[in-house]
Amino acid sequence: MTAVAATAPAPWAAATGRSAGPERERRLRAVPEPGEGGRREGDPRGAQVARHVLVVDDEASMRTLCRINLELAGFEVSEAADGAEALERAREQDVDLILLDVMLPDIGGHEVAEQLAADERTRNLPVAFLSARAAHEDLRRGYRLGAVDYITKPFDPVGLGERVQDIVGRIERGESERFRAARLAELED
Amino acid sequence: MRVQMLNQETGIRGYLITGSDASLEPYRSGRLGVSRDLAALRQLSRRRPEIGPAVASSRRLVGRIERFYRRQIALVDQGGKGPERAQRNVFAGKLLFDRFRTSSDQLTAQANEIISAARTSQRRTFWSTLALALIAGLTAAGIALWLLLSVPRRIWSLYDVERELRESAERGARASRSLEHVDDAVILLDGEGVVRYWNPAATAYLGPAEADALDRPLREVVPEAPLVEEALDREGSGAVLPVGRGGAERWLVARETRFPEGRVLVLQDVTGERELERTRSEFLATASHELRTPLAAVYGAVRTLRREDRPSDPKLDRQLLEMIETEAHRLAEIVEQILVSTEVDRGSIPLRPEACDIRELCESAIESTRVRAPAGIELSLDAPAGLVVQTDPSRLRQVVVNLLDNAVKYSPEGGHVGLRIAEQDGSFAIEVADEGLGIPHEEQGRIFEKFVRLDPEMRRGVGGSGLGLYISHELVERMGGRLRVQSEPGRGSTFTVHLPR
Repeated sequence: MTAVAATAPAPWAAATGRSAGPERERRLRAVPEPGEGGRREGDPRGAQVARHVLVVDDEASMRTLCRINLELAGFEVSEAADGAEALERAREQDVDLILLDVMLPDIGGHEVAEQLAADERTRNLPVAFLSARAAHEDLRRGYRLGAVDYITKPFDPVGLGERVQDIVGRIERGESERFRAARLAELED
Repeated sequence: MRVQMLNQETGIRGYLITGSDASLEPYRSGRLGVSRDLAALRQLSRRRPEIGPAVASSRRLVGRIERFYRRQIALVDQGGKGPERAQRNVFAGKLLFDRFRTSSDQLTAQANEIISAARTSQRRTFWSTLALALIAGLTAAGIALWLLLSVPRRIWSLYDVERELRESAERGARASRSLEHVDDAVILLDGEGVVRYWNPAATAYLGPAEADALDRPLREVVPEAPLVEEALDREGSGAVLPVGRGGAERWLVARETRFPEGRVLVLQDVTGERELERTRSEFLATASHELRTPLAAVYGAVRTLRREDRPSDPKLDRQLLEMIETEAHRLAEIVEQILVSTEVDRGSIPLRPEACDIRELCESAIESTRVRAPAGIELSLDAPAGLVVQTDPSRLRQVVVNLLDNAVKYSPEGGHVGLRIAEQDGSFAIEVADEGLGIPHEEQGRIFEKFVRLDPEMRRGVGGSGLGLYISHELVERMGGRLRVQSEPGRGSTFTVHLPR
């Protein structure tokens, strides 16, 4: 467990010396000081920065629905249709959160998460799983890989915006690790 | 005897008169007769001592008479005054003879008595013998009757007993014979758990031959016996257990029936059913997943469309409506496939052959696939014009669309999918070739089976219900054709449909 430093804008890419295990607090990208730009024009939330979410799913319809609803919630959205594309996009280091489908045509979502964790550049990138596999075993596996959340399909895409806002909020407050541990504890029963 | 004496007398009298030797003839024969008779009487008197005195007296008298007669003969033989003297003696002789007659009468009377007594006793004996015989006869008859009645009854009852025994033995033998042939393992254990009956199926499932299993405790014969017993205790009859023999694993249902003298264990092989259940539940799982995805898309699109907090955006609206249409169509297809596969199972697909232009059919199939194919896929058609065949157009189109969809699905990197028609004598071939993932050689036999999808774990998310090729294969066979595959892993696959024209 690492110390909470949500207000100290340390770029997540600069995190060093951390253990490579899943039990580390994820960080979002560096947030420019208010007034320094990065604010969206006319953004009602004012000082908040548009967080960039990468939606990874092989189903085009799923990607589209997520994008529409996340954009309506004020997020910036990119899409990837398979694991390779996802990794490539994530390594560009402008993503705040990945919504990752487990079942992808080339490599599975779990594999993608492991590779992200293994790569220096993407180690601290928060990952939330999207999956139809909702058995306890599947959820446990996802959380053990370090997921900050596990969204089971089918879900109402209209509520996705709020859900992702919750995730981002937890990370900003440094509570995502506690949340993850709590979910795992529930599932271990 | 008297007769003999009379003969003698006659003879003497005659001699007295005639003096001729010839007259003595009766006398001589009489003497012979008398001695004979006396001998007989003597014998008789031995048997019947009561006539002894009379016999003795008769004999004495006979002796005196015969002496007298001899004297008479001598007198006659003397001549002279002899015959005169003899004549004078006749009276004395007559007296003697009378005395003899009396004695003889007595003897006769006694003899008669004896005779009559004998006769009476004879008669009595006769009657008593008869009575005895009758009684014996009746008794015998009675016994015979009784035997006649009871023995058959006894015999019948013995027959009955024997028949019952025989029937029961036959039932036992029939039961045993049936048990020899049933697929279930049947093991009879006595009160101590010792094997008393072990049928061939038990040998097949558990290993030991009958000779090795009989008269030994079950625990010695079958190492898993304690597990079986424990499972039966826990779950009661009907516990399912894995049993591995010779590298293969069988799943057996154990059922136990207890009775006072022991118990019967029946083991039923449910490996097949379990396998079927497994494939069925696998199918259900994948089918459910396959249905859920387009449903989620339809639902999500509708929900998004109905959001009141979004700005008006006709382009977005169109995009969402198109999504609903596409996904709903996909849903319908999957449901159709499931239904068709059950019909195919039942063998109740009606085929309606008609004249059909193959090129048109293939063009239509390609169009339907093109609309749904992702960007990286290039579809091409190589078909002669004017080739008309007799076939069920909707079923054949179904098959072609299925092959095209698979080709697209298994080319995740995009690539070329070619549809080619070849004309042959009396038949034609439809070929769908892709440059995608290919099929591992060991799977190439299995892919036409029900519920077989490559990558059943769905790790790679290729999707599909596992029914498309099964249905296509069955339909082609029903149409009198063949569906074959040629494939190289990593290089692509070519599916060929051969059909009669």
